Amino acid sequence: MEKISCDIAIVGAGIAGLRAAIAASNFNKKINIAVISKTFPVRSHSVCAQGGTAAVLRRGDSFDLHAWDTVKGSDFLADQDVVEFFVKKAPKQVIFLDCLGMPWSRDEEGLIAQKRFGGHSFSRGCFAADYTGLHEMHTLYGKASALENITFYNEWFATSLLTEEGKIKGLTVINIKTGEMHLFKAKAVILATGGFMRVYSFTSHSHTATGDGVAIAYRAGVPLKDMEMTQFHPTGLVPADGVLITEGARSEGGFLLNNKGERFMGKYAPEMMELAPRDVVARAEWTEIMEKRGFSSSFGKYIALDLRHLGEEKIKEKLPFIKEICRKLAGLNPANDLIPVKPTAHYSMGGIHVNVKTETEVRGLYAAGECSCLSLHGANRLGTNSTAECLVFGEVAGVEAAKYALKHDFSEAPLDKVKSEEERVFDGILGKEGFEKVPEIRKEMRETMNENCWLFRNEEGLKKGLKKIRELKERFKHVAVEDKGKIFNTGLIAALELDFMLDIAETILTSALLRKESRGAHVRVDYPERNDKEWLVHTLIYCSKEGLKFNFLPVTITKWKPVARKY
Amino acid sequence: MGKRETVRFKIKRFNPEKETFKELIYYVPLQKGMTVLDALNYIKDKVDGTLSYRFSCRMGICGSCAVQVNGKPVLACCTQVADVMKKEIIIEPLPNFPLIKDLVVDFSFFMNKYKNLKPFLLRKKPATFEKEIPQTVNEHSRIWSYSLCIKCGICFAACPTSPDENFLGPTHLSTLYRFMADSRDQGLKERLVICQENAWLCTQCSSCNLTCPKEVEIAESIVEIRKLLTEEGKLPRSIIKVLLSLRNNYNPWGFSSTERNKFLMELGVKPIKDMFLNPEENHLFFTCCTASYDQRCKEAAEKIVKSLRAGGLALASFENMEWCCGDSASKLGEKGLYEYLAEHNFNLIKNSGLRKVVTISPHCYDTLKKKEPYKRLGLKVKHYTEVLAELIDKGELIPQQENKLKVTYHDPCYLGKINKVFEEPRKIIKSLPGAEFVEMERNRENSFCCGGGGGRLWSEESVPHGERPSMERIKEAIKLGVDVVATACPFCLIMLSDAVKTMGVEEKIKVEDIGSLVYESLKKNP
Repeated sequence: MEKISCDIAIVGAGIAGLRAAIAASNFNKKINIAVISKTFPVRSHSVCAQGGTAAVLRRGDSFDLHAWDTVKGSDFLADQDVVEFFVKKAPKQVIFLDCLGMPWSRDEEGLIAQKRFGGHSFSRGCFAADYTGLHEMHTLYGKASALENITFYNEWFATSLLTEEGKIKGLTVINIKTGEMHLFKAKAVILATGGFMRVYSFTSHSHTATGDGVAIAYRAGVPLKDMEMTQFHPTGLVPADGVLITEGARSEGGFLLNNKGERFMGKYAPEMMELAPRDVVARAEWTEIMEKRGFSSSFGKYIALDLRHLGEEKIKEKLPFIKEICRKLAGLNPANDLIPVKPTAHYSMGGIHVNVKTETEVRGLYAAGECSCLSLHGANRLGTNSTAECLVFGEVAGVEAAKYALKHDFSEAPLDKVKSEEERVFDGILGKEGFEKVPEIRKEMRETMNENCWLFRNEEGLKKGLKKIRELKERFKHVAVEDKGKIFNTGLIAALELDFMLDIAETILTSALLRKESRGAHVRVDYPERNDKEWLVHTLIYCSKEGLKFNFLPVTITKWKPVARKY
Repeated sequence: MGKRETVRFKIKRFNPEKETFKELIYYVPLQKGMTVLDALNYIKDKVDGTLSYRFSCRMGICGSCAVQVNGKPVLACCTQVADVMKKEIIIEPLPNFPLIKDLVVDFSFFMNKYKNLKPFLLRKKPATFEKEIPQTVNEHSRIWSYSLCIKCGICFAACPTSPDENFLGPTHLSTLYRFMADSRDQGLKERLVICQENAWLCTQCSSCNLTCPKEVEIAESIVEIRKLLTEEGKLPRSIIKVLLSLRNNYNPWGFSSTERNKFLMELGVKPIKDMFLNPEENHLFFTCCTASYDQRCKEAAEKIVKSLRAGGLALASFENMEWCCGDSASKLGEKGLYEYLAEHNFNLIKNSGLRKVVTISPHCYDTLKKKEPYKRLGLKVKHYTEVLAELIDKGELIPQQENKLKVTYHDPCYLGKINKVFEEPRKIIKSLPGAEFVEMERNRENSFCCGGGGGRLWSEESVPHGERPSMERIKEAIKLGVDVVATACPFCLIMLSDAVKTMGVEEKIKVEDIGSLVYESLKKNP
């Protein structure tokens, strides 16, 4: 097996991964950085981010206000030291991108324009029309691609982390183009592999958002935090399996209507209306649908997003991508038609447990972006805080990993683990003559998650779901990959991804069963109230030889005591 | 529920381990709103798990799933099956990229050359990242549309010039222009160096614009780059010659303007001088510079005129007062020169009172019909193939002479894909006694450029590296076993017949203008 050595290996080339690579490169030009990505960087799911990036830039706004909005939005599960750090660092990231050439939308004075997003009490979302993620990605990629000490390994798939005695040694990676496995020896590793909402069937996530980094960390014994906290975005396009319609559509003045034509948000969030935080809006929509005030279609029940009153011109100028998505995927013109939407699995507040320096419990292993859990978003993330998080903590991870790499030498990677990983992939999956099929198990997993771990949860459903996922894990042992070739075997990659997702689905269900209260995005109908006395804690879940283990961590509170959450 | 419709897909597969190609047929039950990507996923999940292709966002923003559908490069996730439905839907990998497996092509070289563009702001003083750099809404709007490129490779696949290694390619040129046009950027000179040799290789065929899923005006960005190069005086010598000739002789060929259109008068075309010509009865015949000065094109033009006259059309010409329509000047980035030429013609036409125009060249057609200042005249511009088809249709022109020929048709870009005149030339060929018409594989909107537009015809410096598009096109025609490649544009006529000569296949195949074919079939007709 070919060995590749690098000082820092970054897995994932979305906003967090690229930001980390640039930060590490700038920190020290002698550090050699490998960016390993299973797609070409600009194909990463980050390009799908539409809305914006939160940053305190203007008079009238303040760090405390941004922090308070974030903490309240999190239903008080966010670690407030992390939030305070984050809000102070966000503005510089917006400026950083501007200086690289990011085409931020502008205001009348030629300064970066801002608008208000859900749960924010100030217009602090910077945006590039509704293409914010696309432009952030291409801006970062433009810079990173030209830095001499960064090497891109595009379409390379990381399969496992190599750790020993609580220290990172490297990782195993398949070059998809050749099908060969490689050993990457690395002093430090940053995981920036993004989210995993592909465990659900109705989701805004790209097909590639399968949580590979989360799963390989978990398998290496790194704890996952708050995995029950999955966010459902209120406006997933119904005829297109949950494709995102940005919250920006409501920032620009869009209404949500039930089948009686009522702006029902008045009942649920009289002040913020459609711009209440996502958990509140998504629950309101689902309640309307359950109480038979939704619309019906051959694609299922839905709520109407009404942009018609904005007019053709404003839609074209402010929401060009939404216009295009509606036309190409649903045959609609938002200037004339109502947009059919409902909550779509969108984001995980939970992920790899890291501290404010993005360090995991394994020395030399860092995580940033959606795959990580800082915890910045607690039980519910506000719109525009995730791209900001990727930028802020991507940079932190790059700098911290660089510092670590400069202080440490390479150490021998555990070759027995490499060998067993080769066996797992090539003998255990690719070479196996099984009778189960990846697409079938994947479909059942997604349906199980949709049915049992959606917005409103209860013990019975969660238990049923967990039982089913465990059955699917058993069945996966008999899976066969139809394509037996080595070169660009997408069937093999899909099997590896499914294997990872089954682990992740299990942790989500387990954590959701564990948390016996309702907080933010996590609603237990059998425990409908928030319970600060017992549950103002983070859930940690570990994978060990003896099976799943749990632990709890207290929430860090600096300034803001939990209060009732009203919008 | 009624019986569900089934769609037949033919997918070109490549097995890299065995190095074998095959075409496989799959049947997919059609569902409401089904995209080509949904169909591919159906095939992979339910029928054949070995099929390889890329996909991710399924909302037209990640650029992974670009494939060729029925000969046109598209994003599979944004293409509704219902919109491309035929007897069978053919799916192939993107051309112009090395093949890896099935529908997966190698993007490495494409991505690797991206860094050479310095795709970030270049500033005189290094950025301190302390303050935003102000940019007005107007300045922002100048770069916005060009910044929407998602690097899906579709324009590169559609471009006739991208196989040329010296060419930076449409994707990269438009991205380069996006930075040149950025008010915050201070690295124009550095950026011009990257493209000064190769921006002239673009043929302005618009295949990039017409296929871009984000509707980026890529061809225009290349014209803008040429404009900047012109302003900096960074022009190849032969382009300077062309521009000088346009300035001094009002044609790009370097010939005296007094010689222009002499041949027309002998053919019964009326001079437009002081005499009043009834605008209802008379058509302004706008001769292309190329048809006036290039011997082959002139011969074709004569036959076009004779055929039109035989159909009873009254034609009038400005003779040597007519100047180049300006298309070449405009596509070479010389906006001022374009305006100079166009203004002259504009005044002539305006004063003549004539409003019905027939052009030989699709380039004049496009310019007179759609570009300012001509647009303001509200002209009824027709390409001669449209007029001939109409005359034949009405029975005013009857091709009688039987000529046993197998004929294919090469769509000129400016007539076909840009102006959607597809059917008239075909109708004409089909009406010719003895002619058997066959389509080339790449036809109509997916037609392949001859390589002569955008000033390419005259620029000696921009000799293409590797095979010329025109030669590729001739090979495609030879494969069909045809006697004649018919076309309807002076540029195509020159490029394709040169290719025939260079390849030494004059015995096998001929290139003819449609007008000539019509004329030959009229011969016995008094």
